Amino acid sequence: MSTADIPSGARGVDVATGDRERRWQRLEDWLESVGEGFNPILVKETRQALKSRQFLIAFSLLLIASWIWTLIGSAQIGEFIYTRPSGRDMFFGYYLILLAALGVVVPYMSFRSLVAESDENTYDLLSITTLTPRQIIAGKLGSSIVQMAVYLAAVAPCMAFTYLLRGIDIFTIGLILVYTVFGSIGLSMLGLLLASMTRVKFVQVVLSMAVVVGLIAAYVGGAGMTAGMLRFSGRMINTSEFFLVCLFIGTIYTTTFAIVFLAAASRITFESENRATALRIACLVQYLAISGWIIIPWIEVVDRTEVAIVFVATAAMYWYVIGIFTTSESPRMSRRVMRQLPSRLPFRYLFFWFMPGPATGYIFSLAGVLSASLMALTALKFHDMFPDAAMSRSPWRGTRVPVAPDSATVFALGIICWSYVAIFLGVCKLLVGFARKFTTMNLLLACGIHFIIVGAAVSLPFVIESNIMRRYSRDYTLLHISNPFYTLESLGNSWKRFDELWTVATILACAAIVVLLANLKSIATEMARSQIVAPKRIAEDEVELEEIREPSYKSPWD
Amino acid sequence: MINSHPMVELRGVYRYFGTTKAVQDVSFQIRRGEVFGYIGPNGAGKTTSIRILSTLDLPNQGDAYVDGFSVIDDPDRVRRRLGYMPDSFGTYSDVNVTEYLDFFARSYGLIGRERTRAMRHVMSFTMLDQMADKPINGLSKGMKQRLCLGRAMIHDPSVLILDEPAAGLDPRARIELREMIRQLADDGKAILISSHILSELAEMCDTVGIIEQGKLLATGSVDEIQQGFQEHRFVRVRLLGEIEALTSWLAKREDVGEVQLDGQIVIFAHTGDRESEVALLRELVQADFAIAEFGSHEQSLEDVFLQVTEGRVQ
Repeated sequence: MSTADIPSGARGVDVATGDRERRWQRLEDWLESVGEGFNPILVKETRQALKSRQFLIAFSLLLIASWIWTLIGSAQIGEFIYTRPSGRDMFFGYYLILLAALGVVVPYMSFRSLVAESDENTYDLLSITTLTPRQIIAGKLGSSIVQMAVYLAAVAPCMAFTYLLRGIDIFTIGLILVYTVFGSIGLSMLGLLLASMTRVKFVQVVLSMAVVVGLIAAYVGGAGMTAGMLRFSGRMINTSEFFLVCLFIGTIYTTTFAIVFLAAASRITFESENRATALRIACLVQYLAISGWIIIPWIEVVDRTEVAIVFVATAAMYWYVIGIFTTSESPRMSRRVMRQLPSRLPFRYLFFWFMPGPATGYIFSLAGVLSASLMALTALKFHDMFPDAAMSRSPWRGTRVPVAPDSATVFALGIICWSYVAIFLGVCKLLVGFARKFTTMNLLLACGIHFIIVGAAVSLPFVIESNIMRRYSRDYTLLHISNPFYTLESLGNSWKRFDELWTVATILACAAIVVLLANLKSIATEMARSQIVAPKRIAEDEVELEEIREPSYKSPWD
Repeated sequence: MINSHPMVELRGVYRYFGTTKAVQDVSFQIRRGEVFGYIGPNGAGKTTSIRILSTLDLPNQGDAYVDGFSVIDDPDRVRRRLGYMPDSFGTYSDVNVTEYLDFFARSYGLIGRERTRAMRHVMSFTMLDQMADKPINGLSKGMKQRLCLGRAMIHDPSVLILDEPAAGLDPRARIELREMIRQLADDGKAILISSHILSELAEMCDTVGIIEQGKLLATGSVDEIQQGFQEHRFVRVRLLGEIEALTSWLAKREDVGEVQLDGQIVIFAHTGDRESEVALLRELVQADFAIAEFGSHEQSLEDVFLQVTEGRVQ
């Protein structure tokens, strides 16, 4: 039958059907091409989640709980709906339901999704694909975010409905939801980090229980904070500091999130890869970002010496914690990493503290503490350039007189902080290096050594004092010099005792130099590492890959 | 481009777990299109060396190479060229056959038509087309093994490492698996296969390596190993006529020993290769013995394996 035989009406129907099919096909093709860009783990886990019983149960419970709360809440409001603003109470009820899903279920599922890879014997299969560790972590996190979005979409209409009941403004609802979503993403990320820590079954079980307890605590804390926010939201939001606080929290959240993400990815990265540099850069960025915020207390607090002391002590603590991890790294540098070292000598020395290794990590931490002291001293030095800043902008201006900066004290405390970090990290680095000769050291063991050393340094003076010297004085003596917390607390509070401060600083500086000298050999060894040439086979492979790769952009004039 | 280097190479690999020496100075090579059988008792170090080769573990000493790339320094390049089938089947819940293969195809960077083509090829090769929408948990052991093989070859690797692929399979599935492996080798893939079923390995493999207590005791072609560990072959001769003449004729020869009589059949140990056996037969015929049957018994791979290994475990 030719087309001429077909009635024109039927032909019209066929053409319309064909057009519709083509449109669908185009849409399908487009969706397919969009899907190509998605993380494979995200695609797989979304497919899995949609079929999984856990998700179905959690989602059903969420809907049922919301529905029940709607009924109970509505019944409670009853006839007062026109006279009493009840949106806040209704919102809080829905929020508790949503928080259970976002604050407990999603982060726990995130933790489980990585642990389950070991349980189901798929971890090995996954790790030998060409997916990078960052893609694996991002995929797992992405699937948590998708789940989050589904839960949020289910409860969001109910929450929007509470706005109509008055008593809560749309900004507060939005703010709380934004905080909750970011909190949930952060907890999921932490869950992934914990899951990446070990593949030992027993430790995983212990961690699993710890995660559950932690998430329940987070749930209670989150609910409490939200209750507070709902109660004081009007007053809070209207203050000038509110957005600054939000921005500050945002700075800490973003930088910590980046560190946790990179840490989780580095935990599942193969050993010969450079697992340190990205993390060290992230730590440095966090340090600089948070240091930038010191400008607020610098402006607001009248006694700038106090601000400088707190800043230096906090920075020392921060760099000590970073140092625990960096000095626990293996001293062996793989040939792969050595290929990536800067080829030029000045660059190699300029960036060597970003390279993996315990000695470079040691120097990295010491440089961090030193930079904090220098920043504080420089700021105090130029204090006179802005003599009125503290007074004119301080909310307490007019009632207090500015305190003259005391650079010498900050300098002495800077030496003390730097020396403590140098001594503790240096001694532990030597001990970890020594232990490495006899056994395989992992991060947990290295942290244990740090914990024992610090614990001994803190408790030993008290033990000597009470058991041997039979003295129970509350006064700080040089016997307590090994206790950094007591030393800083005592000298920090009464730093007018200038002579004592300098005595402690001198003793500690001498000890720090001794420890630094003891570590000098390893520092020199790690600094002397130079770039090695990649094998010929790598160059051949690069050429082959270059031939395969299509140019991303082709000029129409080519 | 023809590669001059072996597709798989282990060079003096050592791996310790505390005081246990799981792998000690293991070295071997596998060339393109070659099937290498890796045999040894349980706990011999097969899986440890396979895991090192698959970039899942690192050696304490030595190095392993896949297509010329070090598993220590360039695991990312190794992974692009390597398909690994572990002894335990890793499965995801709530996933069907297509979704499973699709996930791994995406994970190996296959996109669009390339991925569709790869999946179609793998499903047809492993005969999983009919099972495309079936949940993995509902598959039989044989089908799971096929799927696992399919997953290992989804990115068309040049090297396949199969750890106990035939374990738990029925005879038919084993034969089919053997054919698949042979076909893959014919396509130019270098294949390392570890198995306990030695009779199958002997048929399938071009070369074998025998490992025990972490040490590679023997490596080479099946024939080479058989010859290397076989001091003499037992020759079986059926004679028509007087048997004593033959036994006394044999007794005079230096290359013959352990002569046994079983009716008209004489079985004796003969030192020498196949050519010397042919020469012996010629001499027997020339000496006017009425030879009705002449054959020699070769040691099987099992015999060699039992002879080489002592059944010690670590």
